[in-house]
Amino acid sequence: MTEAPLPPDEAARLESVRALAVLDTPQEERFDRLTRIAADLFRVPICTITLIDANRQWFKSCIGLDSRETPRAFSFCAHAVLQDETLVIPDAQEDERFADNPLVTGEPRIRFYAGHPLYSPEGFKLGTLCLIDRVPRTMEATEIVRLRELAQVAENELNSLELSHALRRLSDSEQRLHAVMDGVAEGIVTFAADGRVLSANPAALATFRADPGDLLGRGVDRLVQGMNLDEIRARVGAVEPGAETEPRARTLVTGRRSDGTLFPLELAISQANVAGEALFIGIGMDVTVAREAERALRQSEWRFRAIFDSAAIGIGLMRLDGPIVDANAALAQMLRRPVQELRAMELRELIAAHHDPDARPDGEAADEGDELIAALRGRRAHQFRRDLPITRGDGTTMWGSLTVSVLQEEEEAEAPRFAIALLEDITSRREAERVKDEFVSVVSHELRTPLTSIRGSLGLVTGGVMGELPPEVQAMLDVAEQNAERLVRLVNDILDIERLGSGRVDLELADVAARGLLEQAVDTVEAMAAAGAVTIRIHAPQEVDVRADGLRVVQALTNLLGNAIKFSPPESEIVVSVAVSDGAARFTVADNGRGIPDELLDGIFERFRQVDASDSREKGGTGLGLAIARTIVEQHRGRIWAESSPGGGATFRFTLPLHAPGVGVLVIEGEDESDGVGRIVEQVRALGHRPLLAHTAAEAIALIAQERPGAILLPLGDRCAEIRAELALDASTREIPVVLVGPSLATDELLEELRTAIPLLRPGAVLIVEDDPSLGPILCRALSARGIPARLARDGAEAVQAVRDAPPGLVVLDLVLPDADGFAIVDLLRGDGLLRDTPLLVYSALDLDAGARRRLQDGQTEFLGKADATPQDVERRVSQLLGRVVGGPPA
Amino acid sequence: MIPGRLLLVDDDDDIRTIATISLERVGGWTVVAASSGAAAVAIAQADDAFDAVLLDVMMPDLDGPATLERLRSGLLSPDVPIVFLTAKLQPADQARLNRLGAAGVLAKPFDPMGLPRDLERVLAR
Repeated sequence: MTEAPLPPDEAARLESVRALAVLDTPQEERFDRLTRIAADLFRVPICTITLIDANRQWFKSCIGLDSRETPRAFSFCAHAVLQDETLVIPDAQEDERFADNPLVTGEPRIRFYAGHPLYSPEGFKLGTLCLIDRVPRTMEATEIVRLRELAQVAENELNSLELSHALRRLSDSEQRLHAVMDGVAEGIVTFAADGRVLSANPAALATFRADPGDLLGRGVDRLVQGMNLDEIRARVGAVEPGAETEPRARTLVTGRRSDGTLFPLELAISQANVAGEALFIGIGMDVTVAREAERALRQSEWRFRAIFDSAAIGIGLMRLDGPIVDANAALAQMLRRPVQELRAMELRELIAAHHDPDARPDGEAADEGDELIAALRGRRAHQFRRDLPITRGDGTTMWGSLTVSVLQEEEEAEAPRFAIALLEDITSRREAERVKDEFVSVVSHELRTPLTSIRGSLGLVTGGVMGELPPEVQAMLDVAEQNAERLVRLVNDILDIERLGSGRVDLELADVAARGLLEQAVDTVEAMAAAGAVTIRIHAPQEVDVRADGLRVVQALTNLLGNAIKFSPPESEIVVSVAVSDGAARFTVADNGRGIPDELLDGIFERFRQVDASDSREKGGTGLGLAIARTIVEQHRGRIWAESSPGGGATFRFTLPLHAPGVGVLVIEGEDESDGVGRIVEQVRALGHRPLLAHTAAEAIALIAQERPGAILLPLGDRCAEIRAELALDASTREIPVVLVGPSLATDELLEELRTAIPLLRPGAVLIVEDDPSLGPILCRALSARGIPARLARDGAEAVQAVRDAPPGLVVLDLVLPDADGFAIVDLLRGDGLLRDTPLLVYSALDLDAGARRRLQDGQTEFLGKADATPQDVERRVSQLLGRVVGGPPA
Repeated sequence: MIPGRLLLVDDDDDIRTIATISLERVGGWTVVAASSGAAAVAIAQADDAFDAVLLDVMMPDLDGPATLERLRSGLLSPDVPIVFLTAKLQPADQARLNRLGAAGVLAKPFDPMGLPRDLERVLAR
């Protein structure tokens, strides 16, 4: 068998075969029809249209064969494509090239073969149209011509196949192009060199509000306002006929819609050369909306800039890691530095720039500035505010209230980068406050001095010190004295309300017995009540201790009592009482006067507000008493209100926080959680300490100033770090230990945490020196119940040893001991330096004289006489003292 | 404490007169009056036999606190209580005056019939 050699142009030939893209495609009737006709015409059982692939022959159509391909090696057709003429093999068995060919020796047992090559348009032989028979036969010349003609038909079909493929590809590409043209937001218009519009995509039609008929074939210059065709074409650049140009950058022109309206049109024009003619392509977009948005943005920017520039408050934008980036005119003016100069400065320099020796040293101020900025950068705080002196550019000093807030950027950066600094000039406000304070001070002195003389001299005369007076004279002088008295009260009240109202009076909170306050107040108004023939009854069935500024509460009670006396009919009774209600101490002053009409109940606490305008004169009141009472109560975080049942008298009530002995423990409730907090508060109470509750860091700071808690408990939560940072920003709270507590801390774990935070709560921190065999243990037990575990020393030697073993945080000392006197112990230990700073509670039967007291008072010392203080008093005092020692003295 | 000898210091003549009458006639004290801090110091240098001092706060030149300091620096025995009498009584002032070592603070205007009683109350503390 001879295998057909490869044709010399095999590579290019194969490429043509494959370019037909017909290999392995399904059978098609148009080819099958051909092979059927050929088989009939030549009366052969087998006819194929064969394509010669690299290693096989593949039949696009075949009659009389089952398979659609056979190896090229046995292929007859491979021989046929080697020659231009028809290959005819009359009997394969007689032909040495094919005699042993498996297709001859086996199925389909070929004997006769005739194949004519099929050409590609380029002239390559792709395959054949061939006839096969299982018996030998011959081909006449006319038959060979017919076969060639049929082969040409097959060839045409094959090549038209290629054409149709090409057309389909073209149409696909056109469709894609159309899809793009139809889909893009840009309007695309093509036009010829003479300006005729050739095409417009839907976006262009929409942009120009036109139908295709409005545009196609008409001048493109109608679409652009104020430009002729040359100018439009000039947008392309130099118009070289036939030259293709890159689209130029878009420029803004005015577009004209078919309804005549104009719009901003962003336009780019390019030029192409199609079929020898210049084609211009205009790509444009209506930018009305974009321009509107841009204008709105510019306007809004302009407005904010105007606010920034014209604000009376100084505003600076600063980098948290560097200088001020921008400053408004007010800031420049306040600081008396040009904006340019400010831009080079850092905020810390401004804070530190104050050189007043009375103020904080510069270093410290700068450090604090750094600390605050670092807190902002570390996201530990979002904002801080400080009132501080600042040296202006010209060397003068101003007082500024500075607020620095982190600038929230749209995209959250790793660390905040910018902050807004607001500076308010409070120099004049501070000056005004100073002047007002001075004024109040001067007025109080200047008014009171002559009043002292008037009231004093009248008092001496009416008091009978100068001898008996005629009754008429006495009566007149009484009038003068009463009015002098009233004037004194008015002056006092006005000064009080001014000071209380300005919030500049700090309460001196202590734990006081409510009954004592009632008694003091009643004492104060005793004479007044007697004059009105009114009796006052104190009703305090239970011991109630409050956390309050005693003097202030007595003042409030006195005012309420004074008011009640004024409106009480003679021989009536006023009841003043205190009781625990809703977790607070509730004070009540009830009279049997004419009562207060309902509509006046709310306003009764306003300044100079009285039920009857004539009251002020008749009753000698100042009109300020109730307002002062309200201010005082509210300063204590209490509530005050009036009740009345017409004809049944008036009742004034107010609440004060209950005293809770022990060490103050502040629990801060983050805004977002509340479940665990109540539990912690209860645990703190169960441990014998005094829970204080704050909801925010600001509230906590205010409470800390008043209560000096020993520790701060911060339940773990989202805002934990932030609250902590805010606390750290406040100097007065920085020293107080903060304990982070988890959601379900057991009470003994909490105790351990507290002991770690507050050394005085450790076992044995309180040393009791007491030789009385029953009193000592009683004291120890009482303290332990308060969460204060105490040690007991029974004599001087034990006491000295105990102190040396472990220095106590507090000593409760009996002065009379079996082996030494208390003085000697104190002298010894304080001399040693061991007890120098340790508070001492002297609890002794000795009645100490002033000298003895002074000798002991070389440190923080409290005295309690055994004669009048019960062990409960000692326990209470210890626990109070401890609270004070733990937190340090109020700032 | 039985009313004894009292050094009264006040720059206002009228108040000095009224307080003297009140303390002597109502209270039974023996009053030595000084019209200024300096005068009080001069008196105390010559005569330290006082049982109490009643001292005005706002006075020209040597004011109350300064006078107290002078009297305390060896002129009067530390046992002699000094009580301030002031027209500027505000709680903060009171605390400040107490810290200076005063036995107490009394307010102006005062009730002349009650002043001796108030003074004795302070001294008894």
